[in-house]
Amino acid sequence: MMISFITLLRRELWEHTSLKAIPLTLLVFILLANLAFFFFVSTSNFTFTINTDTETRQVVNTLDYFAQMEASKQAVIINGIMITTGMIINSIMLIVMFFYLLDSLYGERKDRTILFWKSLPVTNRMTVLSKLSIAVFIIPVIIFITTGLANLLTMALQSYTFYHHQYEAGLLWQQVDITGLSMFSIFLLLQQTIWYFPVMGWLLFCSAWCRKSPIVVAVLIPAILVFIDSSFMLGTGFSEIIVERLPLGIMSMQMGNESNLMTYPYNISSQQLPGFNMVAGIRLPSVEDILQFLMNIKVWMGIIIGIFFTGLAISLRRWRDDSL
Amino acid sequence: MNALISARGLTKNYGRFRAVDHIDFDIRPGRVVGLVGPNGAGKSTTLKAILGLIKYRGSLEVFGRNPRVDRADLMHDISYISDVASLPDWIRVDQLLDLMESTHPSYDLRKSLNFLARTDISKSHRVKQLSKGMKTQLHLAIVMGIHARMLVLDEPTLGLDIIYRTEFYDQLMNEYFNEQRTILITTHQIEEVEQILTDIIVINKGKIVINMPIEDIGKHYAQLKTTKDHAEQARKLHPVFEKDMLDEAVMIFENIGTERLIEFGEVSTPHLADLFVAAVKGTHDD
Repeated sequence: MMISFITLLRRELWEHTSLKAIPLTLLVFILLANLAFFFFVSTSNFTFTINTDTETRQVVNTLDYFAQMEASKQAVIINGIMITTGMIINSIMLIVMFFYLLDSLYGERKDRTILFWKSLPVTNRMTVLSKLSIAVFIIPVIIFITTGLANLLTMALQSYTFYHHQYEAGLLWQQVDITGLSMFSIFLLLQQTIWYFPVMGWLLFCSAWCRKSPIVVAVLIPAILVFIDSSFMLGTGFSEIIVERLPLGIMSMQMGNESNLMTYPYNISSQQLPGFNMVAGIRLPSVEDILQFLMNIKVWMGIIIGIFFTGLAISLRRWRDDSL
Repeated sequence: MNALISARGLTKNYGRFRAVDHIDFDIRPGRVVGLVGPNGAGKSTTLKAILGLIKYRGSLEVFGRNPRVDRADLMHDISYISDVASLPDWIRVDQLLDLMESTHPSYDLRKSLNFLARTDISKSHRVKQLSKGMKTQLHLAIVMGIHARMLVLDEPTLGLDIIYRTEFYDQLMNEYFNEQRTILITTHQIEEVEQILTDIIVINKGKIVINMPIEDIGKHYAQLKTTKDHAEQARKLHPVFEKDMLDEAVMIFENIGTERLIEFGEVSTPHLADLFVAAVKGTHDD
């Protein structure tokens, strides 16, 4: 049974090539961005002004400016770039996940391959859970690996940039917090997966339920309910729940949104850097933070709703054939 | 011998349309059964019920199990080929074989590879690169590797040319079929399977109109080839089907002794294709 389940996971990766192609494309973009920095930015002797509360400085060369910074400020910039890169990868992969889940049970009916898949001695439960596992386990792992590779690529190329311009090659490596970044990424992915679990269940359900355009139904039904709730001021709290759960993708980059539990533990005392609006350093969530998150009723309601919609998707697939 | 499939009062509605209407049938082991009927007769719906793909009313037992709840278990014993379009286009042949080996406990990869070695299909081909005929060969290669007790074929040669169609059934009978195995074929092209069937079930408008072993057809039906002069008298015996051929008439009679027909002309056992037309046309005329 375990072998069958692993094979089903592999089958999802065979079919949905975007799960591999998009991370690879992102890595190529990051490579190009680094090369652009190497060839254009690092060699340009231009002047720009940074205004801070205390002074206005004229900067001549980016590398020169960076090399002369205090170590703590260098760390903020380096780790900030790493986090931002990770957030961009994370946001894009969440969009990929959104479309993957919507297509996962609808696509097999649309192309009639469901007749073939159902000719295998594999239960509907195992099939649907394999698709959910891609969203819950595989995509987060892909995000983690891609982020790691992207950051490694950036560090390696920019270290060479520094070396090439006669700066200390190890400068960046001294300031980057690899353990902190890794733990940050792991906690973020765990928390994000738990937080978005009901959305994943809903998307799977729409994919199994809709006879056409699951994306329209998946977006329209919550939108209509929010519209009714807010227009007639029914005060059901539904709008707030939806708004909290639906900012898939780009919005998840927002830090410090009180309604967004996901970013809460990382929104730490912001020691503002002159000219930059970035969190200074990485603070991992404490046991208290994690417990606070796990004891939140919203988290458990979300998990229950996610399980409910997944159960419905399994049940619906039992009676789905190639007749859409 | 116990039936592998037993249906009683099997009924399926799609909204107000009744696709299958209270049908009863049994399928015994070691048989090649043709479930034939015109387009929209209810053949594929019956198959989908057998395979546990749809809800239905009535009683249906497949290998002693209820297909509505035991589909995945049933697929250990049943191998199913729908028409060639159901294989995923994106999959590579090696991935498909890998998938079969990992999900079917008794799958024999060597048998599939031996079969594929005699075709132009390579392991690096994707299904979308294959012609319809090659897709059918690939499907057959998979079937060869599955140690299933029953093979269900739903219009397996749809869209294939005569060469591939003939080759498909030749390979099926020579390399797959044996007395431990049962084959259930649905088709509306009876002429291409009539040589291999041991039993026939003709379904039309959701109802079974003929259900019997091939060897019993001669006991129940007789075909009379007569001249126009004798045709009028023969018609008084109420043929179920009649067609005119130049200066002759061909009639099919049901449950009538051949001694009563022989005085009008040449009596023989009807061809399945004629019987099929007779059964379907008869119910059309009702």
